Amino acid sequence: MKHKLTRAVSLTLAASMALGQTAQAFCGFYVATTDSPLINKASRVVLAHDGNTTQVTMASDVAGDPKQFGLVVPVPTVIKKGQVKIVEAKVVQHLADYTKPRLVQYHDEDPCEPPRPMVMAMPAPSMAPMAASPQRRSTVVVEERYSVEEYDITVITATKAADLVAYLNQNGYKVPAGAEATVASYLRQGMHFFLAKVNMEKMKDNTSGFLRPIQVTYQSPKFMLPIRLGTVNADGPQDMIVLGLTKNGRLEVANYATRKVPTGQQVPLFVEKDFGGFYDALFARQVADNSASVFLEYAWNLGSCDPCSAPPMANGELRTLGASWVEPQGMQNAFVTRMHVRYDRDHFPEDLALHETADKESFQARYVMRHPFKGEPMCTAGYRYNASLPDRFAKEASNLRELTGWAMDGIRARMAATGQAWR
Amino acid sequence: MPAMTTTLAIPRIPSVWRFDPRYGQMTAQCTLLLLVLLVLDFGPSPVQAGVYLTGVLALEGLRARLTGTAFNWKSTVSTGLSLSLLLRTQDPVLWAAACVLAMGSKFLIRVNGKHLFNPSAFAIVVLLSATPEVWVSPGQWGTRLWLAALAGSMGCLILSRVARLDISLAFLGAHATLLFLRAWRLGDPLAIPLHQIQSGGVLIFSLFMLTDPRSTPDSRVGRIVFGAAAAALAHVLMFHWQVREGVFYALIAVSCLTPLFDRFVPGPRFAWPKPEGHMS
Repeated sequence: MKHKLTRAVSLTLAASMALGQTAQAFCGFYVATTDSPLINKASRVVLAHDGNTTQVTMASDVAGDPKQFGLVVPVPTVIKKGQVKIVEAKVVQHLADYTKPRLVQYHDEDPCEPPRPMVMAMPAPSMAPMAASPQRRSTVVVEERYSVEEYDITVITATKAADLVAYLNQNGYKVPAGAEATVASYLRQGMHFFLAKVNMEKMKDNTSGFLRPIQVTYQSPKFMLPIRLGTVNADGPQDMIVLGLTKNGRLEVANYATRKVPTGQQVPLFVEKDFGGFYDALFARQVADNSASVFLEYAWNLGSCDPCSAPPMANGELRTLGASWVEPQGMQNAFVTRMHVRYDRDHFPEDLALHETADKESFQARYVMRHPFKGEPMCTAGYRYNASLPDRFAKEASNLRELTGWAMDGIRARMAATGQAWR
Repeated sequence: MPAMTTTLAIPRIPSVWRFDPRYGQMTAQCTLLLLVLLVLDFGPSPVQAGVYLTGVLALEGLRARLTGTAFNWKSTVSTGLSLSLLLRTQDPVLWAAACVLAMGSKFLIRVNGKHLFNPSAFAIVVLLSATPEVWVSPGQWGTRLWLAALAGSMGCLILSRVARLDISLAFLGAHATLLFLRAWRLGDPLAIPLHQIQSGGVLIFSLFMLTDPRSTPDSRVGRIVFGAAAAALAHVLMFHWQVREGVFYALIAVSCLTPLFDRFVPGPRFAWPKPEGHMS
């Protein structure tokens, strides 16, 4: 058992690296104070929504020196100090692990014995931790300026987008060229800009080495995720994982089609060693077939999971992430939705408009490995079982090709290396 | 030149080929329903569609029996199909409630011999307001399906000569104009309004609900103003109040003005062809 768990963790790390390759910013954009290259991998956003109250927890995979990062997010209201909290990265990580696509394995029993299946969940792709940092002004009005833990936060508006962009540039945010029109659109929609930079003095107290997620709470009927700034001058598409916590049912993007990722297929055993690569290929294929779609990876009432890819969320963790309606103890009357969107300006010209549905149907991205029984056949059923294996392996290979687009020759070679030779 | 004019003129459809335009409408709706059942991951549920259709037909049968009038299945099926395409809920009690609200409003909320509200829009609005257990998924179609649906439905409606396409065109024209004006005001790229227009919900709404001749003004001028007003109100609801289902609320609100349109801008009262004309 211990051995299995160790393997699951290393799989998670591998998957994280594999999936991170194509990702970048999120709702807003991350900018550097220097021209040094940044890697901002897939962002994660937790959205807890109840009536007109939205709590957004923003976490993103950022590699590099924290003082080089800044976060710029359009927000519908002026965000005051009491509306901002810093959340431990591990809570967001937990929810992400709990909802991620999973590989389950079954061991075939001796065909000459009565059957008894055993399931073990293996968590898969992970993305990762977070972002940060800025301050100052011009027709720019600084509406709020305060510090929360290791972040210095400024909320600004302006009558002219050019002034706002100039302010950002003067204050150490390297705004991508072409962002001005998008900034202007947000300003005309009455939105404000929430800016966060890391306070390096206070960062010394943060021994984790990671920037922690920022959580903003606001009251507004505007329930959306602003992605447009992130697509200005972006180098290829970006990935975002949206984790929704709602009272009633699945969270849905109202203005783009939602697709379920394929689920339930039986795949060859070697996938266990390369689950990150497998899921990345699968996801890329889905995106190629259904551009401008949002993909559902998980939707389930938090009261249960089957199989669980991580220990269940504690009530306190859910409350930390904004599900304030969940009681401190007892039943978790909350629904979690995990959506994965790979977006660029061509396919996602408009921000994501969200709405809560009453759809309570459970869904998970789950793939199955079946370990064949290795013993010598001791009965007729045993011989029949052995004779049936090549067909089963061929089917698994064809499933894998269908899901990932990988070449059959390569699949067959890798299967042979893990004892699943066929034909 | 005159010869050319003659060649291009739309030939008169022989009377044997003229049929009740509701057949065209039903064909388009059925095709759309089949398509979304097959193509969409979060489309309508076949069981739910079956219950809506059976429910509204049963209620119409009951009404016909109680009043001793003819059984008007065509308009009723159209109501059931609109509900199937748009209104989602997992609670069977609410499936039944939708049927009762739709048909109840048609039988009971009447002014000057016409029902005031489009039955399916009425059920959608009442249930959306009353319970969090229903929802409408307006944007689940994607570009390809949307374009196919637009072309196919318009084709069906034009061929079957649905009398009230003017109101759809007024609505769609005003809706698109407002989206482009908004983009122009905000300085947004054209891709944004073009994407916003591609809503399956708005398409079904404008082609199958707005065209209901019994709950819209009698005169053409009245209908065009009605369609444009519904689009304007829906725009405000969607963008200012963030009501994603703004079109349905707008239709119900503007429908309250239909008696005024009929009074001040009167027109010939619509009747469906053949014996069922006095019904509905």
